[in-house]
Formats: sequence, C-alpha cells, structure tokens
Amino acid sequence: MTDNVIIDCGERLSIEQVEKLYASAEQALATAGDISLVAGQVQYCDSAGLQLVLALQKTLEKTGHRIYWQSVSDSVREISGYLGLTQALNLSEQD
Amino acid sequence: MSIDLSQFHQIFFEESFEGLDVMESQLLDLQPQEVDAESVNTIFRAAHSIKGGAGTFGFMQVSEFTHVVETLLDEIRSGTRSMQRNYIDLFLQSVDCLRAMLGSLQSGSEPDGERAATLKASFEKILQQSADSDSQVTEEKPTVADEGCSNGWRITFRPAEDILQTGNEPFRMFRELQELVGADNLTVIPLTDNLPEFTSLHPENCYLSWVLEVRSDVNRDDIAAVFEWVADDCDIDYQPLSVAAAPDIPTADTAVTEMAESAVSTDSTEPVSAVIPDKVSEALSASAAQQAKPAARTAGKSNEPSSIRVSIDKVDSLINMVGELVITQSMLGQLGQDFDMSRLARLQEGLTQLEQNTRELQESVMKIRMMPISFAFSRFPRLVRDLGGQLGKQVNLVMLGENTELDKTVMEKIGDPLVHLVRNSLDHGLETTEQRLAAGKPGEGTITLNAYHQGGNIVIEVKDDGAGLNEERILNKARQKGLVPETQELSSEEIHQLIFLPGFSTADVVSDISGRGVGMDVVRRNIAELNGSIEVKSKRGKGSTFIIRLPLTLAILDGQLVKVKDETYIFPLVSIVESIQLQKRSLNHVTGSQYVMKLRDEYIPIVRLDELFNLRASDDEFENPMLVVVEGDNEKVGIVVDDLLGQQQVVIKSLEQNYKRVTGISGATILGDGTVALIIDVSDVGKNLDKSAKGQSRSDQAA
Repeated sequence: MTDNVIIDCGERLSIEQVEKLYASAEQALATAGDISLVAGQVQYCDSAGLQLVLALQKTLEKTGHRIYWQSVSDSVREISGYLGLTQALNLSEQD
Repeated sequence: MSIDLSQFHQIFFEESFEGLDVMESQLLDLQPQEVDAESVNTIFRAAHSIKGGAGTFGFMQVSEFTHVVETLLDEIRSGTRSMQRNYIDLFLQSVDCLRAMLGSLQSGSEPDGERAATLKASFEKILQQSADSDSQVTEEKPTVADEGCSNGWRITFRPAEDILQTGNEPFRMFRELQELVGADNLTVIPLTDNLPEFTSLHPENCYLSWVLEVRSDVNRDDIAAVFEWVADDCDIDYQPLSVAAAPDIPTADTAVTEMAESAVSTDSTEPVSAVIPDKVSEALSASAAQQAKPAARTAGKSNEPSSIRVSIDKVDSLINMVGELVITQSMLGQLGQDFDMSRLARLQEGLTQLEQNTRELQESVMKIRMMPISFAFSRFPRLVRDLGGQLGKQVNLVMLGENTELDKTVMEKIGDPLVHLVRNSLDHGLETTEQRLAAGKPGEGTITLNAYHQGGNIVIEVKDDGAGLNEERILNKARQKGLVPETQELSSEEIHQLIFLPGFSTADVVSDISGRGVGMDVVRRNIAELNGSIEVKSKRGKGSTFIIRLPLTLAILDGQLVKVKDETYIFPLVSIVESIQLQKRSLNHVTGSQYVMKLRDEYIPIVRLDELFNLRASDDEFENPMLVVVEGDNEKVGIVVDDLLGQQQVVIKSLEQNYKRVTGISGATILGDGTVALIIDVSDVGKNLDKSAKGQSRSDQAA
C-alpha cells in the first residue's frame, strides 16, 4: 500500500476554508498515494468545498489513486445530495 | 440564532434610492424606437434588486409592486414585447411611487397603497394584453412553454465563475426548487467537464454546471423565480422535457455514465439523483449566518441618520496622514523627554511639521464629505422632461461640471433651491416654442446647469436662453407694492434684485409650477443659511443666469475674530462688507434705543453686541469702537465691537446640539488658546433690529 495521507476537513468544508484545504491537499498530492478525508465533524459545507474534493479525486484517479472517506457528517451528505454529487464523490459507498 | 434584519434597513433604503436614480436616469435616456438592450438590463437589474431586498426585509408592498414592474421589464428585455413611450411614462411613475413608498417606510410610516395599486393595475392590464396576444399565437403554433408545462422542464444551469464568491449557493437554489416541485420530481445531474486539474484549480471559483430535470407541471416562471437572483450572471436554459433532447445537452443517463466512469470503484446502481434530506435546518442557519457577515460589515449602526460612500483613495489618503501624524508625535515625544535649549530649533521644526500634518489631515477628512454635484443634478433630467411636457415647451437640459465636489450637507440643502430655480427658468424664463420661433430663436430652449470651483467656493449657475427678466414689469410691480418709490430710478442690477423680495412675483398666472411669489426669497434665504449668496444676470431676449456661490463645507468657516468687552466673537468673513472706525457723530437716533449711521449714500442700522448680549454695565462705554458692516438677508447692518482681532478658519461646533439655540448666535468654536468663541448669526442679528430702523434704512437707501 502506498502512503496514505489523512486530511481533516474540520468543522467547515466551505468557501472560506477552501484555500487552506487546497494547500493541504496540494501538499498531500505531492507526497501521497491515496488520501483519506476526515469529514465527520463538518458542520457546514458548500459547493466550493465539495468541488475541491471532486477536483482532488479526479486528479488522484489519473494516478491510480483515490479518496477514502474516513467519516462523513450529515451536512456533507445533505449538501452533496442537493448538488447531485453523492455518487461522484463516492459518498454512496459510505454508511 | 435569528438575525435582526432591521439593522440592514438603512443600507437597503440607500441602495434602493440609488437604484431608483439609476432607473430614472436610464429611462429618461431611452428612445422607444431604438432601445439599448444594456439600458433595459440596467433598469431591470435595479428593479430586481429592490424587489429582492424588499422581500428579504418584509416590505411586501414594495416587493409586490416591483414584481409587476419587473415582469414588464423582463418581457421587454427578452424581446417578447417592444418598448413604447407610454411604458416609459409608466415606469417613471413607478419610480416615483417606489421612491415615495420607500420614503414612507424609511420614516416608519405606512406607504401609500392606493397609488401603488393604481399603477399596479395599469401594469397588469398591459401584461394581460400580452397574455391575450400570446394565446392567439398558440392557436397557430403551440409555444414551448405550453408544451413543456405538462411534462416538466430540463434546466441547464451554468453558473458564473464567481457565483460562489457572491454568496449565491447553488445548493440553496436546488433545495428551493425541490421544495417547489417535490423531492421525487427533481433530478440533479452535475456536469464536471469544466473542472480543471487540481493544480490549476482556483478553489473559490465555480467550475461545475448542472442539468436539473423537473418532472412536474410547474410553470416556467415559478422555476425562473428560484434563479432570479443569479439570472443576469448565469447561463440558464429552460427546455420542456418533451423537446429537450438537444444533442448538446447531456441527458441524465449520459451524465450518470460519465460520472460512473470517473469513479474508480462504484458498485452502486443508484442513479445520480438528488438525495433529498429531511432535515436541513442546521445547514440553513449556518448559511444564513454566512450570508449575514458581509452585510453586517457594511451596514454599520442601524440608527445612523445617513451614511456616505467613500472611495478607497480618500480613506488611504487619510490613513497616510494619520501615519505622518503619528511619526511627528513620536518625534516630538522623544524630543520632550530630554529637551534642552540646544534642541529648540528641532522642536520648532517638529511643531511646524505637526501643523502641516494637522492641516493635511483636516483637508483629507473634509474630502471624505465631498461628493460630486451630480447627486444634486441627477433629479433635473426628469424634472425638465416632465415640466417641459406639462408646459408644452421643448427643453434641452445641459449639465456641466457634474464631477465638481462639495460637502454632502451643502449638497442636501442646495437641492430644493436649485429645483425652484430650474422650475422658474422653465415656467417663466423659457418662452413657448411659438414665441421662440417668432423671435428667431430655435424652437427648443436650453437650460444649462453648471458647477465649478472658484476661490474656495463652489459656484452653481442655472442659465436659460429664454426671454430674460422683464425689467419694466418688475419695476412696475415693485412700485405697485410700494417697494420702490414712484420717483426713484433703479439700475438694471437693482431691478433684478427685486425678484428676491418676499412675496414678489410678476407671473400672470399662478401655476402648479411657480408664480406664487414665494420662491425666490425662499431660495435666497436657504442659500444664505448655507453662508452662500445668489445673484442674477439677465438680458432681455437673451436669457437669465442665476449664480449661486456656496462654501465648500459647513464644518469650517473663514472667520473674522472681534473683541467685545472681554469676549471674543466671530463673524463669517463672507458676510462682512467692510470694517471702519465708528464716528459717534455720524450716528443718528431713530426711535427708542435704535441708532442708524449714514455710510456714504445709505443709512445703516446699528447693533451693539455688548447690549445684545448684556456684556457691559450702563456706565461703561466704548472707547474707540469699530463698526463691522455685515450683510445678511439682503440687509446691511453695522455691528459695534471693541476691536478687530485676526482672521482664521474655525471649526464650527453646534451650539444647539451642545447647549441650546441662542438668538444671534449660529454656533461656537474653540480657539487655539482653548477658549470658546461664539459665531455671530448675521441674519439673526439683523432680524432683532427695530423695524422702524430697517424701514428708515431702506427708504433712505432708495432716496
């Protein structure tokens, strides 16, 4: 198994946090294989946050890697559902 | 957590009034035969923002009224209907109505619902006419809208790249749409074609698009209402589901395939449809809080009577000045810690620097209050259009120097006098088209508004190329009213000044516009209250020019300091005609305790400040009194003082706000030595004169 970097999304996976999260993910992309996202504590997420994850996932896929959700909060599920991104983000795999 | 929206009311009103100004200005420029699409869009956007804001704040009367205005505008901008002259008139009436409604709401009173209802009915009648004509078309060829309603809609939603940064969250719109049509009737299909490589991603931009399939007989307008806030900035396409299989629009199935292929591992056969959560209150409250933050930053305190928008350049300049001040203060502080006489030169240099910094800071702060006079001028295109139409006169309004800046308070107070002058020019100044043509002039008259800076003042000219003042008629009227003796001859300038006397009017007909003779004296008084002056230049047959001179600001005054007993008073420099040594022998006793003095050809009433303010015991007399001759309300008054001190700019402090109103005093200031000096209200002092003295003065002047 390749290196697996864990990124904690914190309580907000939203536009005001995406720059910070982008920097973490960019660093992780350079060093890691798969990336694990901890999103169980996310209280609020929006299109910018989920779009960032989707872009990260697409880039990872090109190198044969992927994102694993370690945990997913209700908020992430709700907003993904509204945006039709549940399947694209592999959230339907989660319990 | 609930948010007190009332704190944002003030900024909503201000923005709405600005929006109405934009609407009005664009409407006035519109020509029905060649409508500029951008102008209609601008008008629509302004109406749209007012509607949205009013809805948000619960001003439903405004919101509902603006809705019909917006609907007609939308039909025009979409090309469904062409612009007509009567539509422009109706839109302009709507602007007035909205302005009045918002004004009422701002002052806490109930808007005039009757006026709005009448206009709304007019709009609905027009809109209904459209519906009728549409139905006729339907008989020949079913419209897309009718076809689609029964099956539903496929909406392709391509947001603007910055949509997320503007707080317009797609998920909120989709949620609203789902509430409208029901969870089972909505499929949300994301399109990710434009999503770049992660390394090229600007995470705050929006690269996603969506196809939304609505399987419901919902009206297209109802769906469009969900996206109305972003409709101008986003690409939104509505296709009835039965005819939606355009080759460039991905179907749900293709999108599912695309998304499924992009996933490394997915065994799920679940279609890519919106998962509709039951409970979203948490997300909603969080998003509401998110939205409220930027607004809270800009709204400020809700109880502020007014606010001002300041360009960032002015704020930067202010910050620079404060920075300089801090450096100087630091330097002086250091110097003070171990000062000896050898460093005196350095101290003086520092103090000079401090003085310069303070002056520059004062100038920078003053600049913040300065606004272009276009804010005051902006009402005139409409005024001239409406009155010109009412009077049957062709009028061309020319506005020059619109970027000339003056103090916001002065700007607010000069608006009404300017309206008086423009109305007078239109009503009395300009001749009718027939009269103009007969006089060899172009049929269209011209009114020119011009503003410019001159010697520390702002000058505003209201000029017309009309008939000019009829001096003979003015003089006859003045003689009839006993204002000018029958035998007295007056120069042209003196005759022109007569129009500023109270109750003076030569208008044959008292109209709605002017002619009651209550205008020009009020104009003059209002301008005098602003420490300004007005003069008129007129030539028969060529036109008239009213020239207003105003100080740039009301916060600072160029003052003449005088001494009366042990007190220092300040005269506004602009009011002083001359200052002379008072010769007791040239004083004449008129009546009671009132004196007048013959100064060259005229008698001037004399006021003793020491008596007015009870400063001197009866047996204590002036030794070498000075007489300051001032002019207020077109009357000269001589004011006796002990001595003339220096002239300086003083910062005006309101006596009324800090103490109470005092007769003869317009304000106070704090001098360099820390003492308080009162500023003399020249007009007020003049009013306290013995009436007989004033009469004596005028008649002697006339004689």
